[in-house]
This record gives sequence, C-alpha cells and structure tokens, in this order.
Amino acid sequence: MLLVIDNLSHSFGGLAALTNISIVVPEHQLLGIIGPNGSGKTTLFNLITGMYRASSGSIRLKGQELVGRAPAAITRMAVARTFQNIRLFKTLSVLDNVRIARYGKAACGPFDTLFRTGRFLKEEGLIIDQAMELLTLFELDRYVEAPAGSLPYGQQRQLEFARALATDPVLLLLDEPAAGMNPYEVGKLNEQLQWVAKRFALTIILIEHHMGLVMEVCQRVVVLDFGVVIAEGTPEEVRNDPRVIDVYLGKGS
Amino acid sequence: MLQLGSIYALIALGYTMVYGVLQMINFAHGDIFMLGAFMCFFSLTVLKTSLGQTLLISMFGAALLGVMTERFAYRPLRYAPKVSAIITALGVGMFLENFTLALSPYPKHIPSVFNGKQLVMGGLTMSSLQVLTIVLAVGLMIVLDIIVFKTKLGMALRAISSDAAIVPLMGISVNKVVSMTFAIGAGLGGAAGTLYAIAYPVIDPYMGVMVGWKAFISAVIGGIGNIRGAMLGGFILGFVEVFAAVLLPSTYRDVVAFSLLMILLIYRPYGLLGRPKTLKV
Repeated sequence: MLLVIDNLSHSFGGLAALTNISIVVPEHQLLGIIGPNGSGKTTLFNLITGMYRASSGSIRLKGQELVGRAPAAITRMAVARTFQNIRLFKTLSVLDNVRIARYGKAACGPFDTLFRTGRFLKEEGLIIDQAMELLTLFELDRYVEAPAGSLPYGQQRQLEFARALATDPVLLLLDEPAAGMNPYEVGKLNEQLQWVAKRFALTIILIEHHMGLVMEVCQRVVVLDFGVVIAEGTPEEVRNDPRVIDVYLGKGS
Repeated sequence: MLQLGSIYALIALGYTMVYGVLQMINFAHGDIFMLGAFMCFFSLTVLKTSLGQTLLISMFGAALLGVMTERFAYRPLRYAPKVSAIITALGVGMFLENFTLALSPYPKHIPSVFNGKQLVMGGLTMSSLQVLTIVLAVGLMIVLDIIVFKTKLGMALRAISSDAAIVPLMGISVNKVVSMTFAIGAGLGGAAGTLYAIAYPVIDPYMGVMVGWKAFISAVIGGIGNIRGAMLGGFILGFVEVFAAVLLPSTYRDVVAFSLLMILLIYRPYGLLGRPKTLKV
C-alpha cells in the first residue's frame, strides 16, 4: 500500500471537517474522491500535503508518517498537488515555474552557485533540460519566457500540472482539474491523465465533480459527505449505491 | 550626491527585500545600519583592522543581527496581523538604539582611514572615499541583482513574493529563504553603515533613525518590493537632497525629501517601478 489514511479527523474550531476517515490507496491506482461541496475533499488534500495539521489520526506514505511534517518535507517525500483555483507563480516565467519545482531537490549549495562550479553548471543544465522536456510534453514550449499569469486559462491548468510533475512525485493529488473545461477539453484531460499516470508511474488521487471523467478514469471511487466516507468501491458500485444517490439527488428520488 | 544616494540605495534594498517576501516594513532596519556603523568603529579602533576587513566584519555582524531579529522577534508573528509585526519592528528598533546607548558615552569619532586625496576626472573632482563608496555600493547592487535574477535563492525569493503559500509545495522551506533575505538585506545595511561612518565620522545610537526613514522613502519612491526600484529611489533621493541644499537653505533638506514622498504617493502610490496590486475580493 502506498498511502494509508487511518482514522483521520480534522476540525476547524468546533466544526468537524473530517471525521474518522480511513482510506487505503495501493500503488499505481487512480482513486477518485467525490462528494458535495463542503464535504471535506480539499481539506483531505491539505492534510496530506501538510498545509493543515490533522487533529487526530495518521497518514502514512510507504509506512512513513506524514502528520506533523512540514509541507516542504512532504513534497520532498514525493507528494505533489494542484489546486482547484489555479495557483501559479504568476509573475515568474513559465519556465521558472517548472524550474523552481526541481530546485527543492537540487544538490548544489551557495558555494557552487557563487563560483559556477562544474557541478553547478551540470545540474543547472540538467534542470533546464528536464523542465523543457516537461513543457514540450504539455505543449507549453512556445510560452517558455512568458509570465505564467499571462497564459490562457487552459494552459495555466496544464502548467500547474507540469509543475506538480516536476517535483518527481509518486503520489499526485489533483483538485478538480476539469473545472472550467469544455467537453472537448475534458476528453483531452481524460486521455492525458491515463498516459501521464503510466509514463510517470504515478498513483493519483483525483477530486472531481465531473462524473463522466471520474467514472471513466478512476479504478476506485470514495464518496465523502459532511466529512464522512459514505461509500467506496468501483465506479459501477458507487454509481448504484442508494446512499450516494441520496446525497446527490436528495432522499426519495 | 552620488555618494549619499548610493548609501540610501543600499539601505533601501533591505527594506524592499523584506517587504517583498513578508509584506512587512522592517522599521528596525535603520538601526541595523546604525549598528553597522558601530561595528565599523569597534573594528577600526579595537581590532585595528584594515578597511576591507572592517567592511567584512560589519557586513557579517549586521547579517547575523538581521537573522537573529527575524528568528526571535518576527518569526513568531509570521501569521499574526501585519500590524503586530510592524509594531514589533518599531520595538526592536528602540531596543537596539537603547541597548547601544547604554553601552558607553556618545558620540564616538571614527578615526580617519583616508588621506584627503582628490581624484580629478574631466571637470569633476571627487575624493577617493566618494569614489570607493560609489564603486562598492554599485558593485554590491550588481551582485544582489545577479542573486535575485540568476540563482535558485533569487528564484525562491521571487516565488515567495508572488505566492508564498505554495512555495513549500515546491519542496523549498520558506523559513530558510526568509533567513537568507534578512541576512542579505542586513548585510547591505551593515555595509552602508560602514561607508556612512567613514564619510561622516561622528556616530551616535540615533543616527539610524533619520537615515533609515530616508532609505525607506527611497524604497517607496522606487516601488516597495521592487529591488531595482529601491536602487533607483536611493539615487533620486540623494540627488534631490543635495540639490535642495544648494538651492534652498540647507535646513529645508528633509522638508524637500518628505514632500517628494507625499507628492509621489498621490500620483504614483505604487512607486516608480512598482506595479499596482489588485486585491482579490
């Protein structure tokens, strides 16, 4: 098991956002998380990446506890994420947005940088090559020098995706990647998720409201409602679960 | 006037860098500059160092001091309202002034390190001290510019001022970058303190107050948070002050400086090189 979430709870003051969540994610799985707004999906991502500290419970990645670690340390343990509302370094160039994601791992210190040692030049060249490769893969190579904030919406989503991959994750958390996309773009995203998962040997947790995408792409789906897991299974099982239908369509429908 | 301007510019960089990463005005920065001048005094009179060594000692000393003030005074307030951090900065400044004041009687006199050699270039006559100050200040600014725009640290710095919350998700620790920012900013302040003390060799614990304000004005004129803006602002203020003293009675110098700030704030509230920030509602 790559990720084991065990009895995880989190509350904001008196408001319980997540209550005793337990989810297990095997390696190379594409897991979907669905649920109405406010059901705690994004909070779960914030807990895994260390942006919030869980009130109780544990999150283990390859057996190592994540709760209590700083976000930067968790990123270096190969967890990456994207955001529901795109968060790019808008004033930095497209290339720099990807480069900075590789610097967390860079080995060279101030000495190497100051004196432009061979090691530094080699590493710097490698980082730029890798960044360019990713940008080409996401068809962003012609925007390299443009400030990230000037890209059209769709390309910003792609850039955020590329930047997340640049940290070399084994676990990738995607928060509503299809938000604001038209049906054609969703189709493209569908294909892209599948080949990216394969090519980078990723385990992906996907929060998404676009049911078509979730049902097609995910091998397993977890349904959250008011911070509690109310259903779990294959897309087929979840789709026919009466509790899920209640949550989405209202009781008695 | 280039000499005064380059000193303002060096100090202004400290204000603007800290503002860039933390959106906080470090009002204790003028007092770091003052302590840079005192370290220069200590180094020259007690340790009997050469000018180069003196400069290094005061830069490293000030850098250490800057990192310490951030670590112990500002970091605990990182997520508190900005006003708390700014008031703390004023407190740190007063602490540094009064701590220095309690050490021994003032003012102190810096021994002269330069013979009054004059350099003549074309129609210009400059003392070798003026030339040194300008060359050194400009050199340090070029180094800083390279750090900010060409290195990993600089990229992390720019990333923090763009969106600090997601920098940790790049695997970069924000605290380390903030410490380095304070070290560099305070180090430049220390260098300015030394250059100032050699040029105006009477020093006292309150010398950092007015110079600090002027440097802060320089940073605002250039557009606070903008590194090249701070350099530009420093030189502009230096020019304006010296010209004001030539054209008007010299007591109007500070009036002109502060008027310049007020007029500029009306027409360009985000400074000469700054960009207006739109707040998301």
